[in-house]
Formats: sequence, C-alpha cells, structure tokens
Amino acid sequence: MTRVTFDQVNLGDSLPPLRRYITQDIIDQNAVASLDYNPVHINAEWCRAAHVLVGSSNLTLGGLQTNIESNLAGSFPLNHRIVRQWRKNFDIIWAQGIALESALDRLRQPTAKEGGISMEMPKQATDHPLPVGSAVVVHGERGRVLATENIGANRFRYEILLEASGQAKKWVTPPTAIRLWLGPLDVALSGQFSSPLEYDLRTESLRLSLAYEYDRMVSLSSSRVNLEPYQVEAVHKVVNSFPHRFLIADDTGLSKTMKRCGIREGKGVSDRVTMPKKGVMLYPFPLI
Amino acid sequence: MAVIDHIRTEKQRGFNTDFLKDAAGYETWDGVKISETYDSEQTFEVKLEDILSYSQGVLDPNPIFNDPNHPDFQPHPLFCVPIAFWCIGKGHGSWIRSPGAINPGQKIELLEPFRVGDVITIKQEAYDRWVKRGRHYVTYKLSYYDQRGTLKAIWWGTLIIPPNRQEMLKYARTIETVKGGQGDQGNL
Repeated sequence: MTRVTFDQVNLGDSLPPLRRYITQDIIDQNAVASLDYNPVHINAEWCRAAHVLVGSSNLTLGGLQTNIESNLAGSFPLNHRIVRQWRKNFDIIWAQGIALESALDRLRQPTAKEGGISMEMPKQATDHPLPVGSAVVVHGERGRVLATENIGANRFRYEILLEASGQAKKWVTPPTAIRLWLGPLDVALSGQFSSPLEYDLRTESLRLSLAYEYDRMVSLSSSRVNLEPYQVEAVHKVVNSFPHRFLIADDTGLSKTMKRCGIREGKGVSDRVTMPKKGVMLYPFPLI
Repeated sequence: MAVIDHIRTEKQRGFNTDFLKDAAGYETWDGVKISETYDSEQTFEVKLEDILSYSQGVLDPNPIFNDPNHPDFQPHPLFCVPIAFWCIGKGHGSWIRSPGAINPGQKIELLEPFRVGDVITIKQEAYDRWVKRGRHYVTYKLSYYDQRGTLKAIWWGTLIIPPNRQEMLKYARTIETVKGGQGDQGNL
C-alpha cells in the first residue's frame, strides 16, 4: 500500500474505486458471529415470500455493513485474485450484452477455485421453451412457468402461475408474447436505457422515499411552518439525541411551541415525546 | 456452506438458531410498556473465542481485534450485539428476534472495552416506541454491566417490528410455507 503525505494531496484528486462483494456465505458467517439468525438476513427465499423489503432480497447485518464500509475506507487490497476474476467475468457478460438469472447467480457466488468462475452464457429472453420455474411476463403481468409443452410448428404451450391473481393459466406462443422477466441489471445490460432526465427523477424519488423513511429531519421540509435556523437547530438536537428529555426555555414569542411541533413532526407519533412527564417541557424563560 | 457450518464457539453451539421456534411468544410492539426495566435472562461470560469469532465474522482484520498478544487487544466495538442476543431470551426484549424486523439505525456508547473473563449482565429499559409512515419503531436502552457493576456500554437498540402478534405470526407462517417446499409460489 502506498502512503500519501499531506503535501502530495491536491484538491480534486480522486482515489481508485474500492469494491467488496458480499456473498450469502459472508452474511451467514456474520449472522453466526452475531447470534442474529433473523431470516431477514439468512433466508433470501423467505424474504421474497414475506415481501419484507422492496426489491425482495435479504439484507446484510448492520454491523457487517458498517465494518465493510470502514474497511473499504481503510483500503481494500484491489489486486486480490478473486476480485480480479470477478471483474473479468463481469466484463465478459457486459461485452456480450446478455445476462439472465443464471449468470447473475454466478456473479453473486464467487468461488476460490483455481481459475476463478466458469461462466455459462444464458439463453436470450425470448428463446423458447423457457425453463420451468422461470419468472416471465405475459400480457403485462408477472408470473412463473409451471409447465411447458412443444406442440409442433415451433409453437409452445405454457402453463403460467400469475403473480397478481395467484391463478394458473395456459397460453400458446406464438401468438401470445411470453418473455422472461428481466431485473434492473438485466435491463441495463440489454441496453434498454431510459432518458437521463427520467433516470434522475427515479433515483431522486427513491432517495427521497428512503430519506422520509429513515431520516427524521426530512419531515421538517413538509412542515407548514417556515422554521428559522435557530429553531431547526433545536429540533435537530432533540430529535437526534438520546435521551429525548429536554427543557426548552426562552422568552415569550421566541417559538418554543414551533420547536415542539417540529420535534413532534420529526419524531413521528412517539410515546416518549407525547408523555408529559418525560417529553419536552416548555417554559417561558422568566419562570426558570 | 450452510449457516450452521460457520458455528465455531461453545456459545454458538448452544444457541437456538431457529428464530421461528418461539416467534409466537416474542414481545410485540403493542405489548411494550414504556419506562419498564428488566434484567436480562442470562449472563454472558466473555471468552477469547467469542471475541475472535466476532472479529472474523464481521470481516475486520485489525490486529487490535484479532491478536490476543496485541497490547491494545479488545473486542470489536460491535461485540455488544452477540452479547445482547445471548442475554435477551424469550421474554422482554425478545422483539429483537422478530421475523421481518428492519434496522433503521442504532446508537451505541462504549464506555470501557469488554475483557476476557468479564461476566456481562444487561439491564433493559423499554425506552421509546413510535409510528412513522405506517412503520412501528421501538427502542430499548440496553445497559451492559460487568460482574463488578461497572457500566461498560449503552445500546439504544431500535428496530422496525411487526405491530402486533397477528402480524408477527403472519411472518412466522411465511417461514413455515417456505420450509414446506412451497417457496416458488411464495416467490411470486
């Protein structure tokens, strides 16, 4: 590792990208070490079935993620052989413009075998017959192939379990258009890009939805009152501090109530804040 | 490798890996009584293998957390996590095992490193609960004490959990469905 001294750093310098790939095996190892066997971490199949998360996949443990991030900041050995192999395999898929679940699964499961990962190029999304169990789209609905039958003349009969209704129906293709359902990465790899403006809007809406979910301060932006900076500062301090036991004292007319409303807005409906004995107490300063 | 293939330590071998098993009895959001305090059901005796296992599990190669001969050897800062899962049993605070729980962010204060030989007890305080955008948050304040009564750490543990037993059981039944080999339907 090359050490950089203060005088060698210039404004605008950028570091090479650092990457670390998470496998289910790593998550499992961390779950055991943490004694946290919640299926939201260790059972991807259950996560998809229970619809716990948008995107229907399981999560790493918070501690693991925090630690990986800090380790990356402390420099990860980029010349690691497995990492090099991963990048090589991804480049192969990217160059050919084809990616289906089997290929992605292999990407998610790096092996330490000599020679790295062997790749099998998957079928095109519209090549028939599609395998039983495939996620497909028919008439705009998502479903899963239960059975397939070759009825001759290059036509195939499919039995498909529809996601929305839970019912199994049969179609013949052609004429019915049946294609594999593609995930976001598949769509990107097949070159079906949206306009930059649409991309920006989507990513911004996703960021805001996550911020509204987890960042208590964002709720202040939806407040019907324009808070002054000193009011925001007080609200920020109370909402993001443990414990939430605060005494707000100021002269009459200096917005103790506004701060109280901001705290309530930022905290959501809380037992603790709404409890008169252990919440926020407001007093005119002369009474203290 | 399966999950159980990673089990190394004595505590890991003696720990119930099936969070579904007692899900029907877990504490739920609507059952949390704010300001109530409870002692943990078990104590955690810190062993060298526990410290090393956690450092390896969290993928931290720092010698401070991995080399017992290092002058500053100590557990990883997040070592309080397995202690909590070990000490908190099926009663109060068992919501940390809720199927479907989501981690919205944690706050941990470390006052003194845990040491090999420490016997850790946790005092739990039902600290806060709230609803935001339809999600049910709960916070417990977990205070870690050693056998001498020294406060070692405080963890304000927050999770988004199922609001009531009915919802908890819905998640539990989903696991049973997956285990029953009907996962393909569940995937849709």
